[in-house]
Amino acid sequence: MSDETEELSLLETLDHLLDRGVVIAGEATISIGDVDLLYLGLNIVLANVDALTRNRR
Amino acid sequence: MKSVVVGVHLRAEDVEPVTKAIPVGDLWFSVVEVDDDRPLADRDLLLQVAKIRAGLLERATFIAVRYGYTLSGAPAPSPARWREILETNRNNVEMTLKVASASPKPRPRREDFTSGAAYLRALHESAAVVDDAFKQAAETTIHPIEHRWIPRDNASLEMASLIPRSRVGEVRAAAEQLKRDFPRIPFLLSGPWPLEVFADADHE
Repeated sequence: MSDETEELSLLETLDHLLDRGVVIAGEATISIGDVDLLYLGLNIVLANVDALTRNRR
Repeated sequence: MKSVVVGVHLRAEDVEPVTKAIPVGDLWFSVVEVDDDRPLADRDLLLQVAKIRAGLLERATFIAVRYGYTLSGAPAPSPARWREILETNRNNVEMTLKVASASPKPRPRREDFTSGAAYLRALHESAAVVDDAFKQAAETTIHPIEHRWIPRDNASLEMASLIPRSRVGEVRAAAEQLKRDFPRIPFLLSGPWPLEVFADADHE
């Protein structure tokens, strides 16, 4: 697996972990850590699409 | 200690010994126990949970719980629909086709709108658009049990597919065929994944 493919695969895995799946209402932990997570999640999505486009060029 | 919940499972042996199982009604939560003061944004914890998630999927299909849900006391009762979803999809997994839009539209800025409704409308209209011929070809070639096109942002769209485990290889080959047929459309097939979209009431 090339470095770029491996990076893409890791980003995709983290994107799914952070942004998919059932949300159990009213029980989510709200903390400073969660603010970091939202920020991290957004970056992963953006980086992922960017890497995908770059890969095709 | 707090328990980071990874997923919802039909049986305890679907979880152990990969990680700890905690009963929730007549189902099971897979959890990773961590110190109370360890932040959820810890990079090593994220990678550990991602690895456990993959290990669990090798044993049996489960409902993925979005990262960030932790237990510190007794778990909440499980919705009745979870058992039905798990039983129906015991032999199915999800795969995702992420497609980048050829010409992403700029995301609207909230400050440019006086009304919230107008902003939401503009946000909706800025969602990524993918060539219809590609969408149709993807649906036909992958041929899922069920599929949903989900706009992710203004630059990408995803086709979430529910497929039998036995067809994972076939779906990968279908993606290779799509690459040959649509060389100018950038996309990425990933998976297999646990039940993420098809267990989430928000996507129904």
